[in-house]
Amino acid sequence: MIDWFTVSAQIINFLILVFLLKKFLYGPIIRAMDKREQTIAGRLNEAEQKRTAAQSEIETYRKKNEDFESQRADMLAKAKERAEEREKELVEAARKEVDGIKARWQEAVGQEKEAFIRNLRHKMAGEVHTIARRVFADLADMSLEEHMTDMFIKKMHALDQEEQEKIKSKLRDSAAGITVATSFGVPEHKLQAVTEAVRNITGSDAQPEFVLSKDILCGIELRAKDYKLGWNVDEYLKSLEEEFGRVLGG
Amino acid sequence: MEISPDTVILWQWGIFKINKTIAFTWGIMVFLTIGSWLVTRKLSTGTTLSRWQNLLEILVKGIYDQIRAISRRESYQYLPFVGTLFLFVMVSNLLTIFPLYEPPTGSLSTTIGLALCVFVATPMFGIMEGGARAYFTSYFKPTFFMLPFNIIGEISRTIALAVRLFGNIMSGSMIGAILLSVVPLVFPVIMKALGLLTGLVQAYIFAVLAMVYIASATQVHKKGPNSTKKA
Repeated sequence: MIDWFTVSAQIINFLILVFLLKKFLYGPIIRAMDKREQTIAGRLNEAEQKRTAAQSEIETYRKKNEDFESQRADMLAKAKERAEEREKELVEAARKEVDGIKARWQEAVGQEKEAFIRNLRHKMAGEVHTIARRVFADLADMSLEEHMTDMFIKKMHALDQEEQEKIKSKLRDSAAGITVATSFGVPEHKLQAVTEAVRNITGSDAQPEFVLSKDILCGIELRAKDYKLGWNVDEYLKSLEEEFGRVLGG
Repeated sequence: MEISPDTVILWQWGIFKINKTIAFTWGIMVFLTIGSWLVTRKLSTGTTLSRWQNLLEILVKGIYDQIRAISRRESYQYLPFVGTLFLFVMVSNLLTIFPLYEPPTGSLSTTIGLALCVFVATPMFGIMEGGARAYFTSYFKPTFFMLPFNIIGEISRTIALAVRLFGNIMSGSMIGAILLSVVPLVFPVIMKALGLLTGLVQAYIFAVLAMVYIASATQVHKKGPNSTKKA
């Protein structure tokens, strides 16, 4: 029943089959499965890594966003502050400008007022002069200039000793001579009287120089260096001017 | 009608002869090898794989899982031997659905050959695992007097292995043939279906028993030093 040749042949056949299947079946299949498992594990690993990376990325962006938010708030606050500052500055500048304009305007007004008053004074002086002349001419049959010269001579004669000394000392100090300035031409026949009056005061025989001066509104003046002795309408007009000024300013 | 396909000699020269058993065995070998090669020459390691590769993977994985369950270790060491036993016996038995085919497992020569392989492989794996000394001392466990019984047990289980497979397959073929002459219609088909089931179960039993023997041989050695210490 038992064929030992077949038994041994079958043993050999079986061993060959084991070898063949190991080579063509188990080996490749197991390698493939292992490799696939590794691939899958690798992919899972990779996915996990990617997920971690994504998570960290999200974290980074969130942080950036937060930073940005806070920065924005900061910047907003700063901008607001700056805007307020700028507003203050502008308001200040505007106020200054307005003040400046006001000041300039006031100055202009002041100047205008002054000019007006000056003008007025000139005009009034002229008018007063004219009126006075006419009055003198009509009532006293005398020219105003003549009368004024007379008054000047009289004033010089009336000078007390002290004043006379002052004039003398001034004349001694300066090389320049003595000047008689008038707003009008001194009448011919009065020249001698004036000269004498001057000589009387100064105690010398100096010849005074007669000049016409626009500065003097209406009157006559004796000038010796920085000494002045005179009489004119200015004095009268000044009080009038003050009155006008007060009225205009008010 | 012959009982064993051994008796049908196709070619003979001296003591060398080719009978039906050897011829059909070669046929199964060619079938398995070519089939495996056709599928495994273009294996996919990606996530998509062919149906045939899927089938082979399931088969190999299934066998491996059984081996792992019995041996309780993660090792591909026993897979070629035990897996080939299973595949060879299974294919040999399942091919009986083809007419004129006679299963080599229906020959006592084949089953004895396979049983001898298991008989030799068991101590071989045992020695590879824990060394010759450790393996042979296991025959004296639990006591010296158990040696003859151990040896008898070893031999008898090998004979049982051979005869069990042979008896089942041979009887299946026999019953089929006898019934065919008695009740030619319908009934033999049922018996054939049962025979296929029996063939599959026998393949499983053969492989699992072989694995159990190997596992017991290797595990004895693993536990050997511990048990001696305890004793």
